[in-house]
Amino acid sequence: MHPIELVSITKRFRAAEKGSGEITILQDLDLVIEQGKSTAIIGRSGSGKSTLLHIAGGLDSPSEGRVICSGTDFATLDDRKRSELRNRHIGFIFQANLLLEDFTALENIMAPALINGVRAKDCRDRAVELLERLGLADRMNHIPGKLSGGEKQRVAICRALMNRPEVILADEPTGALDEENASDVENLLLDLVREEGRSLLLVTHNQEFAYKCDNVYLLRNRNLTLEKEA
Amino acid sequence: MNPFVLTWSRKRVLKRGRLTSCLILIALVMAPLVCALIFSDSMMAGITSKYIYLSDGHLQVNWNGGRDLSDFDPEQYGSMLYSCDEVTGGYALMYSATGTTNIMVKGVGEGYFNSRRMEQVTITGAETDVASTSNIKGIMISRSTAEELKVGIGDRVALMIVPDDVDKVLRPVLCRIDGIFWSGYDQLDSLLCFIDLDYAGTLYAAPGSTCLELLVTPEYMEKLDDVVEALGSGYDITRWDQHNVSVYENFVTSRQMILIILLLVVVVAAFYTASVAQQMIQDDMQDIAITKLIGASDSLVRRSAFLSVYTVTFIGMLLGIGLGLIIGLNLGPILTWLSSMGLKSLSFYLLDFDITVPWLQILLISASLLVISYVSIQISLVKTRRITPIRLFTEL
Repeated sequence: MHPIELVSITKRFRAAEKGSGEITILQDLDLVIEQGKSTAIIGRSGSGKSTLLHIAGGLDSPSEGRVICSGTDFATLDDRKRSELRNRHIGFIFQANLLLEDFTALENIMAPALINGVRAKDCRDRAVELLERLGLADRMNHIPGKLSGGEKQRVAICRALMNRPEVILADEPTGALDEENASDVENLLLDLVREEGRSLLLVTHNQEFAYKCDNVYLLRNRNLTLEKEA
Repeated sequence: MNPFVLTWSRKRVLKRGRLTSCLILIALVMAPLVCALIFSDSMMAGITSKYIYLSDGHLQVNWNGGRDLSDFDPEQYGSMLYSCDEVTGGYALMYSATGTTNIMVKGVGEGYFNSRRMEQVTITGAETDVASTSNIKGIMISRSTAEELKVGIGDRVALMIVPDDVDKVLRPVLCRIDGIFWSGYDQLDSLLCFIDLDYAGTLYAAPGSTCLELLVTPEYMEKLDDVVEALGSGYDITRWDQHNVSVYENFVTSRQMILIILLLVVVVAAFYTASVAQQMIQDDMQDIAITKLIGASDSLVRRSAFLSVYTVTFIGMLLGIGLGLIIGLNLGPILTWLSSMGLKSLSFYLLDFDITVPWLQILLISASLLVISYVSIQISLVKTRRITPIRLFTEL
């Protein structure tokens, strides 16, 4: 059983202009995210990388095809079960870190566990451990507004790993960071994913970062081409 | 309860100004409502007491052509009856040098103003009985009547007795003011005056002008029908509310209307909480989408938002009830102070009354607030369904 498997995925959007019909972004695309492996998808802006990642994470639905997460087809689930599956099996990291502004760094990291029904005192140790590993122990009680861009992104990485998900989906996680911070975050993310034995699906236009992954695909002409295989 | 729901709600309650203003508004709505309930209930209970103790007793035993009133033996009903007093009276016009007023003359005997009745009135210038001391008979009038006729203790007034027998002629009687009483309820006070029972018997000689006023013991105050039944037949026995039908019905109608109006105010306040919930969703759209992104279901988000608004509603309600109780329990001094400050209209109301807290009605409006808020907040939170994580990337 693979953490995520995309089968014959097609995604069409209604065109912005009236009467222009539909635009096909992804066409009959297959992708398997293997257990413990990191996979990067590269491609030009507007090629559909983010759309593919949204579909893989159950945030968006394909026009055709199936998304199977840990053996379960997303399309067969209601909102509660789909949310539960996302909470337990997938961690998300985005370019905009998407942290809860009223929550402290520690609370943001604990949030997925709290949603999963784990009491704060039972998940606090794990959250603190993650913060310490990413060098943010002294920032745990700061709200996101008091953190730098790099720190926020590290908090987002911690949050993605909190529930020990099978797979991490990362969309341009270093896109908003300066070179030094970006390099730090890249290495931290890849190290953590390896140490924790998680799978990674990375979407980026940063070729250097992408080629640090086990597998690299190029998204072009609505489909994937394997560029690198471990 | 899910730990995230608690954390989210705590954050919202503590940090959102909108929720704070909701809390204040609910408290400010509930406080006057509770105060109004205490005021209306206490005042009505107070006025009822004045009617019972000064005007009619709990029960009146009237001669109905059968057994003579003197045959009635109150000792037989010792546990039920606190007192039994013979009263003779009728109507008269009272004159002074400067004014005239209609009045009900009550002839009462020694001991009529027992300790329970004395709790309801303040008497100046006379012993508690109004026995005559000279050929000019003594009379006790109310403070409001004295003010209206511009007379005081020692002054004389004339009573034009309205005869209770068609064979009698209208005749004036001169009286000396021996005492002035004040019960705190001017509307009733201005109708009453007290004279000696025996003398009243000479003025109102018809058998129907005399009755027995019964006060029941505290444990039978709410069981007057049981007492009536125990007293048996042979007399015409009426309860105070049957004797003052219009007063009693006014009270009942007023209480119902007040409660309905207060419930309507509560409905408006409850719907306000729904609009606060809607605004909160609007403000927190991004946070809701992020929460769903990391695995919160729509029902979990709704529970979190609901708990925030409902907690605030509940705390506001408790604060309002507390504030209302504090003001309500001090209404007597507040009203007396307002009256003394020149709010003359207050003098038509009872100013001196015991405070009773209508817990049942407070519970009713509180429950209404909670139920209507519950439903309206839940309905307004249906909108969270439209907030999906994908909107983070397309719209927000």
